[in-house]
Amino acid sequence: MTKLMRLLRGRVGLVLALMGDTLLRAGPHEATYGFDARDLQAAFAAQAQVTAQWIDLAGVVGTAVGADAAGHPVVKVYLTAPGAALLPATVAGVPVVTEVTGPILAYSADDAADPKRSFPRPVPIGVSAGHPAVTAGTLGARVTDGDRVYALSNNHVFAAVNQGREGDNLLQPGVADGGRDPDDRLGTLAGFEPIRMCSMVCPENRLDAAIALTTPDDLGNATPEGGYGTPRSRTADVEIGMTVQKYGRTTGQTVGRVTGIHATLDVGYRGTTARFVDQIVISDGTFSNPGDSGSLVVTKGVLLGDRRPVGLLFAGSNANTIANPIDLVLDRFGVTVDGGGP
Amino acid sequence: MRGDVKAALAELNRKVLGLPGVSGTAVGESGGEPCLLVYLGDASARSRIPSRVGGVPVKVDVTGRITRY
Repeated sequence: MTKLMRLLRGRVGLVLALMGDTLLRAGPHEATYGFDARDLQAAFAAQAQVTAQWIDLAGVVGTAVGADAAGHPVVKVYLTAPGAALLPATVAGVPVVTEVTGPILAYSADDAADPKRSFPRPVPIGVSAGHPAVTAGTLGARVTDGDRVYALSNNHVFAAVNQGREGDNLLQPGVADGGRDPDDRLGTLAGFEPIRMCSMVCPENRLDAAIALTTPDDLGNATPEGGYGTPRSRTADVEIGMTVQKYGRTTGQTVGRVTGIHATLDVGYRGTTARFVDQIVISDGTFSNPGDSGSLVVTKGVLLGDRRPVGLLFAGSNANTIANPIDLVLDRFGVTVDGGGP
Repeated sequence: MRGDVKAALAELNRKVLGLPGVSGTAVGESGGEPCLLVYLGDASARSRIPSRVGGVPVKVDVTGRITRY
């Protein structure tokens, strides 16, 4: 528990540092703080520079920006044991300070299941992924045509809203979560359904969907721990009132209820609008948030009625989440969910 | 979906889709019976939504702006 407290304190330090940054930018009281915004920016830049590399070192648990005893910004590195990793004393002129959090926290359930992080291969489903030109969305499921396996998500996640080309890289995690092209490649874009935007008229869309070619060595078929696990291959017919669940990059595991079917909806895509028909509406607003796009929506029931694919999450508002009917998605690419059991 | 509900949805779509403030429509349920749903970006369009179409009740859901997630 004390180790946990220590790690939490590190995180609080980061938050305080961020608040300090805001206050410093705010204006005339700058002089009352022990360090200036440039030092802090330098510390964040130094942390960003080293984190991806150091986090892979044996003995390193994590990094943060903190303050030393004199209140100067430093890069903090959390270690499993004293001297567990050999690190320089400074990075780009910013002091490096180590703190031992212990080996237990090196793989705490919390961190291990964070869907935004980079996962060792094979990565779970329901985690951060995206085209290099996209911030990040969710890799919803592993699907198969009986021969090859693919990652399933939205056009706007894997193909940057019609901009992607076959063979473009798919990254895990997505760029917004630190994914880099091509180091974090998980697969390559194999197909997407184009989205037709409203202009003089609104063409009818049914799908915001894309698949990327990958392998079972790169992609597993279960969510991280704490999620619903492995979806079934056989889909369920959607019904009003049905209880459903999903695991996604932003909100993780959530449960909701189908409140609308055969929905026609105008969905905003960065300044343009696209009309979708035959959609599924799920409530309440806590079911998903931006970044959960691409999540597979499955039933939450008992025995064979549980974990049956129903929809592909792609949009939402404060009060509702919108999903494409999964059968239309799977038929479009000639695939089935590569799941567990019938 | 019952034929009368399907027909009512088609009629509702003709009436409200494209109106300012209307984000969409769907079939839902209210008190165990089918109803039609109209999703609004904000409450301002509420007065322009009929309370029944083709004998099927219409409920309004002020859902806010729907965007790609």
